Amino acid sequence: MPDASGKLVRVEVGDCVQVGKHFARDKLASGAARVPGGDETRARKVIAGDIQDCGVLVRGNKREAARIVGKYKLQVASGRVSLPFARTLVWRPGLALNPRQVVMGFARLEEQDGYDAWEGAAMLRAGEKMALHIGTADERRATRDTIGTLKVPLYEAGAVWVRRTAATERFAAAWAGWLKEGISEEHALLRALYVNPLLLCTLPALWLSSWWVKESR
Amino acid sequence: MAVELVGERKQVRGVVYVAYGAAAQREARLSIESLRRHHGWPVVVVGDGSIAGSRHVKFTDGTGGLPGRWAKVNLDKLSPFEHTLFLDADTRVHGDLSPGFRALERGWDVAIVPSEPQGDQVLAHVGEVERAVTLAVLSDPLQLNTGVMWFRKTACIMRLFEEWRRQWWSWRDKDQGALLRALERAPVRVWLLGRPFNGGGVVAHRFGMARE
Repeated sequence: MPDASGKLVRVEVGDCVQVGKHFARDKLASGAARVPGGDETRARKVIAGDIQDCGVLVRGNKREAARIVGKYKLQVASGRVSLPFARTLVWRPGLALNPRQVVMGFARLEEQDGYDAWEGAAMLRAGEKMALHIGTADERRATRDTIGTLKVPLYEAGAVWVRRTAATERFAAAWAGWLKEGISEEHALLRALYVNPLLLCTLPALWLSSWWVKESR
Repeated sequence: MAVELVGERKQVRGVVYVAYGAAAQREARLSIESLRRHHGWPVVVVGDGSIAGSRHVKFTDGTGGLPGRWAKVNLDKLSPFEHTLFLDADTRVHGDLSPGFRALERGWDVAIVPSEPQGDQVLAHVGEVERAVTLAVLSDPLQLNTGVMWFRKTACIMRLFEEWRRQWWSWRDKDQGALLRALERAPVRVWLLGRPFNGGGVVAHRFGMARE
């Protein structure tokens, strides 16, 4: 095949090669090639060993978390919302996760080529409900007073990946504080996010199902 | 003694439309009329004609036929406001739009609404190859609708727009795929608002009506 300079080169499946734009378009359109990089590549790096700084903060049963993430030797802690690791998955065990899904979230926080990286990654909650649809009247009123409107989408509070920075530590402290007051999960997370702006990668609802793999026991 | 300069505060916020061609100009005029029923913010229209009640900004087309999209990815340079609300010409305002500006004042760089098509339909309106390239890099991203978008002028927003222009220039077609790729390389603080703000009860969106 021709490389970017037009010179014929021999390549094998899996090779990365610089090619011209028209050749790239043809091969991408036919499915014969793909753009290197992206979530899959980053995830493979994470799984392969770039995970020394990653860990799971379990808001519940620590042993269950250790069983799920043990394959990748991720660190596990339990307790209130906090960021004990450089990259932390804050996980509420009621949300089912498998190891692949856990590391895909960490991949979203990885720096690439010297550019800024996302500080947090969280999914929207399935069902397209907004803050005005859930919680008590008092919770909705307080959220509206904080945010200015209740016409905002809800986040899935069961799994939030966070890279520890000054901004995210403020966010995590606020989130823990709202939860401690007994505020509903959705309202607590919304308020904590709103008053602590961060580089948040919002993922679509059901993003985790993109990475569902049947694990053999 | 401290005083609040009310006039100065109003100039921080403003609304920008992009309208090239008779259909877009007509839609923008009607959108501005609807906006005026709820807000008195200054309005700028980038395009090829003046519209009553707004200030006209001329912007030369350097794309060979897609002036509207090129203007959109240059909004950081074209908007005279520190805090900007961009509205597609084919929108109609039916309620309070201040929550978007409030988010900017809180420290968010952008306030925007997720698109209705997601999952298998994400970026379905984008060209086949561009879509494939975008999904290869991002794998199931959250599509954002750029028809109603608040942003403030910060260093990171300038970087985002610069990257957005670079990404859009690769295909010179739709802008939403380019924005997602740009965000991946130059992340900013994005606050999401619900569907009522774009295609709902606060802002109705007459998709496609601004095209000739």
